[in-house]
Amino acid sequence: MKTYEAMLLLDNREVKKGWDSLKEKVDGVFKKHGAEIIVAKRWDERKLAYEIKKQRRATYYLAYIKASPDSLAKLNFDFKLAEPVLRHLLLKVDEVPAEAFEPEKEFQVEASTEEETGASEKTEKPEEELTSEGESLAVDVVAEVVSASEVEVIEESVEGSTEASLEAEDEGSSPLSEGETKND
Amino acid sequence: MAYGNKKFRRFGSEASNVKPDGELDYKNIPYLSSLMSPQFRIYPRKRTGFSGKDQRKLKRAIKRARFLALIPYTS
Repeated sequence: MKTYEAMLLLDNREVKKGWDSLKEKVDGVFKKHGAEIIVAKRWDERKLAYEIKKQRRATYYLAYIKASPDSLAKLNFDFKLAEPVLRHLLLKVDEVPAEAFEPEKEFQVEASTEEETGASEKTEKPEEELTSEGESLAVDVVAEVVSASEVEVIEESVEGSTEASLEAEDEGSSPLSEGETKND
Repeated sequence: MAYGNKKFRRFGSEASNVKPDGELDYKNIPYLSSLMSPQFRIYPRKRTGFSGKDQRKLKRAIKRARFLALIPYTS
């Protein structure tokens, strides 16, 4: 029996369904292959540096286990198949670090905020994109309206005299060009 | 360092004995990030000043952290 460190990336959708049941499921995989769990805790819930299986966030689960070297291949195989596990890493360690025995930090708080942050970020990002797009669209619309109104005013003055129409055309071209620069 | 042997001479600065300020572990993200460029490239030994042994530890830790999406592969 040797000591190993296992880091698992768990799908947040599964975490939201219930942490305890998921923990049981994951620990069950360890136990199935005769591994003895020394410490197992949720390490962090964070944004991933890149998407894994279309997921932007994940819960990190850190476990220290005692297992026979033969069972490692089976554990690796099972974690690869397990759907809630996005990714996993099994490493040999000489001894369990002292930090591992510290209780989970702010588990309850993060568990409650986790869903909020996870959900809010998912909703916030599209909103931000929408607002930025909306603002730019609004600016475009305003620029078009301004140029259109100016053109109308000019056209009204055009009806007065033919001489003014030449000037009006010159004027009419300049606001349009301004509108184009505003669009840019 | 063997400065007499031209083949194995390290260019740049003289050999230094910088020891890591923290644990070179894949979970120690703030410290690992300090040993990487803003584009998340690992600083060379010339920059870190680590021994070959420590530099290999750093390499391993960063590559593990990348695998677990704790650090990006590229920016």
